[in-house]
Amino acid sequence: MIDLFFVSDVIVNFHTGYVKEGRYINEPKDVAVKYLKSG
Amino acid sequence: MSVTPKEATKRDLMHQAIFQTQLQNHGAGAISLDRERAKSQSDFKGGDQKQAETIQMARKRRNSIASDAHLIPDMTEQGYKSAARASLLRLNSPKVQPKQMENHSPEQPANDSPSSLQPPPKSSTSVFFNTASSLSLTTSPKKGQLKRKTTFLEMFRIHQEEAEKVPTGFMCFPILHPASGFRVKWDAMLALVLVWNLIEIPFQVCFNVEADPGSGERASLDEDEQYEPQLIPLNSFDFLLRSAQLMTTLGL
Repeated sequence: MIDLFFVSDVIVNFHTGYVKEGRYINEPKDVAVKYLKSG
Repeated sequence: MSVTPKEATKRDLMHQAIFQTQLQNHGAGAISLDRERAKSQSDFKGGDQKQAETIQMARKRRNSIASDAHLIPDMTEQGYKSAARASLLRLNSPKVQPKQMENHSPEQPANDSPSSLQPPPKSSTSVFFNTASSLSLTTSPKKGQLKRKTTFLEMFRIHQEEAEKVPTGFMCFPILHPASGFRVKWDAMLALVLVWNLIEIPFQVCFNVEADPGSGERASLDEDEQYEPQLIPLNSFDFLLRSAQLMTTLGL
């Protein structure tokens, strides 16, 4: 059950934008690269 | 140290020349606010009297707090949500006109009344309310002009409004904003799960008890059966059998 939460968190993180240099980035590819690089 | 009238006149002429040069090159906004120099400039009555009065009024306007009120964007007065909503409406409307705010100019009369809080008319130096990207006040790169940037918190809230209004994404999932309501609740829930793990895992390792009550009861019973010596018969049939064996052994 708890493992299910953490797996879902990975998916949610792949669908969460980020703010870079004052601009909101919501491109799925950029978000995925950012999440993979941030580790 | 006394100053002769001739030296005073010479000094006044020098101040007048510097004053005129600054006024012509940079305008009233570039004149220093050094007290002695400002006093000498305000005492200056020679030459163009009207120009000196205009400069005095411009300086007063620049020093007053109310004169800078028009530089404050709408978001601080109306609230962030309504300002973001209004900016989106302005962005989507066919007549998109950036809100222009004027810098101080010597030609503009000084007026500290409440009507001066309204944005003045268009001039050469203007500050744009950029609604497209970050709702920040930006200026042209010329030197000596006004510049105001939105804080990170303002930008964060405005982006949150924009992100909730315009969801984009792939595979039927919208891209969430990091400050959106769902994301904040999700993070809070994961924090609670982590706290539960922090408590439950050491308890389970130390006492070998599962979180499930039924499995924990079973585990404890298994341990009791492993280490407890069987001194008492488990049921009445064993009790009778052992009693009979004992009686035959003793010859009774």
